[in-house]
Amino acid sequence: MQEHQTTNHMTLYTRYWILSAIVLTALLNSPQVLSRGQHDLLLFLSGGPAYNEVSPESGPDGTEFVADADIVYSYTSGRFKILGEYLLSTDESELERLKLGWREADTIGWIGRFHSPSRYWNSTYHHGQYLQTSISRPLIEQFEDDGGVLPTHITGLMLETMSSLGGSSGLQTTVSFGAGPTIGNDQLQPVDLLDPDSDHGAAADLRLGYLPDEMGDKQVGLIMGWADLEIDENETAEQLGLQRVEQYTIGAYLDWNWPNWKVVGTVVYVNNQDKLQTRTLEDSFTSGYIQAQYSFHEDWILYGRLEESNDAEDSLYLTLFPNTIADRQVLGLRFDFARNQALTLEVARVIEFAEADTQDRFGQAMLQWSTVLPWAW
Amino acid sequence: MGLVKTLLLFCIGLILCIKVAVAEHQVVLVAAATSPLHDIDSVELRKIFLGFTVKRDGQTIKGLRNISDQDLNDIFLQTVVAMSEKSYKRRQLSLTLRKGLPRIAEYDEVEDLIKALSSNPYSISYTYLSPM
Repeated sequence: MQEHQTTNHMTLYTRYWILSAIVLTALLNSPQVLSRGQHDLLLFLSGGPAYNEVSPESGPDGTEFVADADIVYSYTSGRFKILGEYLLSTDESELERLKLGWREADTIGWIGRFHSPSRYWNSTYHHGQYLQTSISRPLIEQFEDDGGVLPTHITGLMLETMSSLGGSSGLQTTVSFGAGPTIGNDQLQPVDLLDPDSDHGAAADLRLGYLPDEMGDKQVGLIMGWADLEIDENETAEQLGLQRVEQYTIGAYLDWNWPNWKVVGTVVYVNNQDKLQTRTLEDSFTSGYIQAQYSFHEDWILYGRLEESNDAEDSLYLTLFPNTIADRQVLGLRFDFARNQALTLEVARVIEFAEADTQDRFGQAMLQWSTVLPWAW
Repeated sequence: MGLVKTLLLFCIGLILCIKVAVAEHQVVLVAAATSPLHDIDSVELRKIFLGFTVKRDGQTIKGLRNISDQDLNDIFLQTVVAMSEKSYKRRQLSLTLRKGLPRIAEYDEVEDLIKALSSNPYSISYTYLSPM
């Protein structure tokens, strides 16, 4: 697993204290559960131990405690909206989303920083850990600072709309254009609204979703993306003479459910035009996942996920991100209890790209408590 | 309670078209005495309480959830949104997380619900037909 690099504006020690204070304050105060007005505040809390079995060549086992506080604020006044999301965790503190919107019927136009619409999982769950069944998220949905290899944060314009197709079905269209991430040392670096710079190339994304019931949550769709990724102090890229990567992605996704069952999956084909000083190389790979979950009781969910990548070991682009997960098999069990609380246990077998065409294989186990505390006024 | 009953009966004077009979109770939609809302069909009602935009006279209709009675709440979940309480709450949270849509306002006191209905002629809720 790629080591978490801190993207933060405060020390780890300070983050632990602030996280502890937030959790205690939230739990000791009776939240105003009844929604009244146009301000909404959601506090997603999660935490627990994560164990990574590391191969004998690489060193001792790794155990860490991970805790997150994801603060989501929204304000609506007539057609005008603001939505912000700030994540404070043991690994990072970052303004994840901040966008201003204008709503006209079922169409919303946004300007700001948002999650790429061509990443379906992220567009559904964002950093709201409690609403996501599993603890981990698939490789192709990983955020940049968690080892993600595809752009997930865009700063620019986004338009979301729903069109009726006759009967009860609908077509959901989401399109965005803005500044994408740069390729930093070992990870992609999106625009930081709190510390912006100007070296980011453009990115465009499209998601088309067919909903058999436009008021329901089943959908199947297409995703497409394009990004111009500038190199920004990536050692491997500099050694290779790589200046930028033009990346195209095309894929499909499914989010479907039946009584007691839910399946969500995505497959993406990634084509990279690797621009060296005197020539352009091309590489491509395909990556996908499918997660199935079964509710065998009102409060219990058993889930499993398979993730696979093809041709990833030959990708020049992926050599820029060492310790990238290639394949993973996940099994988990979730228990919902009390008001908006969940306890989840997850085990996984991970295959990770290491250096010089080698792969690391290791086991992983995680236990997580998660909750959401909603306020409104 | 006299004033509350009077206001409630006045509101119920604008009964809209949907009624559900459950045992000895009938459930009706209610709006303010000054409300121009007359015909709201079941599809529009579901849209309103699932966070979709439904307009009349250029104004967005706002749904207000009456959670003062458990049986009434069960009827609402079964017949209007066709979801369990858990699924409905998750959906509300998800809409706020994804699109910043405000959650549907909830009232556990009938007096507060009546005040809210009276303050916005483009809001609707539901209650039992028989006086409380």
